Amino acid sequence: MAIRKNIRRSRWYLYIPLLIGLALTVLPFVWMVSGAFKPQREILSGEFTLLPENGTLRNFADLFTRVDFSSYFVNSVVVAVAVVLGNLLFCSMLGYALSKIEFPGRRALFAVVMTMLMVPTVVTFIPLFVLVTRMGLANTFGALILPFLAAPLGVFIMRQFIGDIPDSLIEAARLDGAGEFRIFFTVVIPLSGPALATLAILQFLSSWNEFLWPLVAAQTEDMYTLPVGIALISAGANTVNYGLLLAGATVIVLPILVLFLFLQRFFIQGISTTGLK
Amino acid sequence: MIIKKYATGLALLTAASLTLTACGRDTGGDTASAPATPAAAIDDSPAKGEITVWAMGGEGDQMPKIGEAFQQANPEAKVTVTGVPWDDAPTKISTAIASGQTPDVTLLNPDALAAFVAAKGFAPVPAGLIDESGFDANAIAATKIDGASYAVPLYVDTRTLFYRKDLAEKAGVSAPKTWAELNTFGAALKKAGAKEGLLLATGEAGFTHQVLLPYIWQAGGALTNADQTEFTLDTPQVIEGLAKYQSLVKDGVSSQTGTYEPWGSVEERLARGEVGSVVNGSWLIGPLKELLGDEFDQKIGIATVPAGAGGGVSWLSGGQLAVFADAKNPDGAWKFIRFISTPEQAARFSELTADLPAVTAAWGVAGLDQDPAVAVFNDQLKSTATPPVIPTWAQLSSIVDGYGERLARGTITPQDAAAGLQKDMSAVGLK
Amino acid sequence: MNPTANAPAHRRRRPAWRRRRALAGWLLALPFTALFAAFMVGPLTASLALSFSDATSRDLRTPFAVGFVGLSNFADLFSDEKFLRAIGNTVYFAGVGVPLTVAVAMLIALALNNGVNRFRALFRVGFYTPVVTSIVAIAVVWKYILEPDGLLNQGLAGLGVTGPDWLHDTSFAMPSLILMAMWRNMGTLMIVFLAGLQGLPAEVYEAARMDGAGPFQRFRSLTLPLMRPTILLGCVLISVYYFQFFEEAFVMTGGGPLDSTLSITYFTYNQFGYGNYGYASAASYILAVAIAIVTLVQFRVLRAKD
Repeated sequence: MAIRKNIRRSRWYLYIPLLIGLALTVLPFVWMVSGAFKPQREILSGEFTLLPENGTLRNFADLFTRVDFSSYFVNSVVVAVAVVLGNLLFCSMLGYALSKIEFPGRRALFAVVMTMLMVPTVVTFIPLFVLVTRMGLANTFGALILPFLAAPLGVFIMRQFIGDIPDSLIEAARLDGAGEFRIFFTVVIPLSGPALATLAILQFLSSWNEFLWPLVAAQTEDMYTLPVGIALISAGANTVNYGLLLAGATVIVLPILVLFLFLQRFFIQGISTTGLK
Repeated sequence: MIIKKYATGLALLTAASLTLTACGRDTGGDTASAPATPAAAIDDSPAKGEITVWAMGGEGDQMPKIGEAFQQANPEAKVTVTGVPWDDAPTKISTAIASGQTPDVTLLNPDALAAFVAAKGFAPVPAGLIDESGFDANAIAATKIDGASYAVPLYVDTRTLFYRKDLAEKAGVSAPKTWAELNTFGAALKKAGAKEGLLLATGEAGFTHQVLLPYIWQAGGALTNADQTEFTLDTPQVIEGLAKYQSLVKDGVSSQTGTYEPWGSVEERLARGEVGSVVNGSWLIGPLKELLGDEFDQKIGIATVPAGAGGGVSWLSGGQLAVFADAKNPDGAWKFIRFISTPEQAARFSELTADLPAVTAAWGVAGLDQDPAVAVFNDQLKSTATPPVIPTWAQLSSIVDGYGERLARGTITPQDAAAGLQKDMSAVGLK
Repeated sequence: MNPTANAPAHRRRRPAWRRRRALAGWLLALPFTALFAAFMVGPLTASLALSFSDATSRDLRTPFAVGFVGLSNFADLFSDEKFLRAIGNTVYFAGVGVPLTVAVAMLIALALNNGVNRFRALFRVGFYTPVVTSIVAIAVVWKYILEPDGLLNQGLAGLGVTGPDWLHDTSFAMPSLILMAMWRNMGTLMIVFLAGLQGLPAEVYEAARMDGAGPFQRFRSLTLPLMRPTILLGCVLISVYYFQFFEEAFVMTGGGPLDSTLSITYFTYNQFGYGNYGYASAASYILAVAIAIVTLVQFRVLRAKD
């Protein structure tokens, strides 16, 4: 990487198309954020404006006062953090087992897990809800979290990454008499930072944005998550409050962008490992 | 390698599925149409315990206030309202029914009722709970399935003609009373500066049928025969209704790609004069007054919809309250519904939500008969129709949406559309 | 596909450490497998069973008392004009969308990798924003862009071209959605490609440069072959997503005009909405099998050239 840097020169002419492309790309994002500060009438005025003419904080105020925003936020955080941590642990455990340990049935297991990547989630929706209810989990955090703790994509990423860890490291630990669990926690986990970061952001993103499942699984408002809460107040029977919707979307996206900014280095490394396998 | 494993896995899953499905359908008669056992009457003692209610959107926002009043009258009861986003309410209700884990009461649209009743998700309304003659008759009809009632109407939603009075005056036309006047009226508004003489929904999935079906009714046509055993779509009246809808586009009154979207922009476009006229609900009044202020009276006219040979029939929908078959507190639930159906509470709910009460006596209490704009809706309610209350309606309405789009685009004749509707809708069936 | 394939020779009598290790392997696999079996395989089996049944919404409370109809849902689907239309649309969407998105993401990644030193983090985040922007906000903005007198047609008018009514024209609605999907998804692929490009060996490029290879030549004879695994990974990821194409059509066109943007997932979604659970499940399994086949083909192509 260090060598690479020396031969890489800045090419000014690349900036022109890139900047144009960037402007076009971020346009809707900018419009979303600015719309959050516009009154409803201005959003629907039929004019495309980037900056609000009559800027207002009312959408945000409504968001925080008309619904129990703080409890939705806490619910969303609890669910997302639990889903991320659970996946980090379970996917890496299975990823390690699949890539470094010989045990009967492991290839079949991997094949079945990969198959799940391809099945549209809408198919399992109703059976899953019936199952969760029969387990007595309806309207609990268990219902919001458990179905998302086993993400096939996570296994794919972790198996690829851990597979790249040199066997010699693991064999050396085994010769020292370490058990598989000890190796997992003291050798594999410390070496898997980038893949774990990648998995963390992907899982956070999908859990944070999940809408239909929490809507159905949470049966009272105190269990709603952010996307459900925002849909609740912004979409009426015959009209949509776009200001509220955009304010909600802006608030929702902020934690993701912050996470992305912090983790993007790891993120890129993580994907490059799985990508080059 | 992987393929082989796949095959084994698939075979296993298939075997499992066969065992599951081997249980088979209960063929002991058509249970869906079996008459419901009438529930025991609800007494007058105070309600007790927790009553859980699902209510959507703005109605869900305001329902707790009625709940508080109910609790004052019934100190041992507690009403818990959970707000649900409108768009996703059917998903939430059907998954709840599937799991048996339901609240006690839910608000819903009449066109969704039959499907949930077919799934045996709702309990029939106990005899004598309400006096049906005190409600809008068509709203009551929309709660009936095979003679039994499964919900109590809370509010009604019908559509009238909103138009730009100033543009009409400029063009020298007045609100159309008949079909014949409608097209010239729209054309005149267009001449006076509107982009759309009459805004027509043409390609809007889930909505076009609400705009198209009234033309069939206005022509004197009906979707089904009286006892709802078969479709009656290839009749001269239906063809005439479809032709009227198509003529609005052909005559240049309405555009081929008209849309009510984005929701909330219709009032905006009307206020700007882009839309000359539109058939829409009473919820438009509030935002229009807000947008136009003092100019509302001089710029906006509201009239009942123009009449064809079958009269000036308009769309009727609304909100109704149903009690789940798996409700934990059905007694309290029905008492709450009875409470919100009293003229005083229905009027209060209407004031809170700007919905039109389904209880006729509530109109006077809420002072709705004083407002000239709302009074037109009262007139319109005398001439409305609802789609048939049948479980397959969601799919049937999408067929109507499809033909509406083709008619507007001129890719099908009214005759062919009527024949196609008859064939496609019969294939889906009424049950 | 795996170095453990030579195991059978040793299997007859396993040493104790091997058994212990296998046990540890299963213990490590256990938490995920248990959750996975309960919350994914279980419901999936039930839904697969649905696809061979005549279950509708009226069976919600009695899901086991439905009729077994064998393959008739599948047979009906393949004679359902709407479904066939949806297959065609989905193939069109993925067939044009996947190569286009891959190409554009690659161009951006190359530009950012070769010669953009300043503000790289800014560019990266910027091109990634569509991935995290709310679909509703995206829909509203794109409607502004695509409406008859919208931003795009204003731009075209400047060039003397009269643009069509993009979203209401049966031949332009799908290209509009492809463009939108490309815009929404190129950020993810760009990151994948950037990661791949950064992992390429610098020495090889230095040598090629010494030999006088131009930038285009270096791309064709070095970057492309070296990046093949990454490109195919990107293709697989994006294909799985594009074959489940739904959201863009849902918010922009409602599947119209005249079903020209109705996708298989949209069809399934509608059938679920109508309460035709058996039929809808069958449709989604056809899609799942199609995606599996496409994925396998892509992996075959990847391996064949290695």
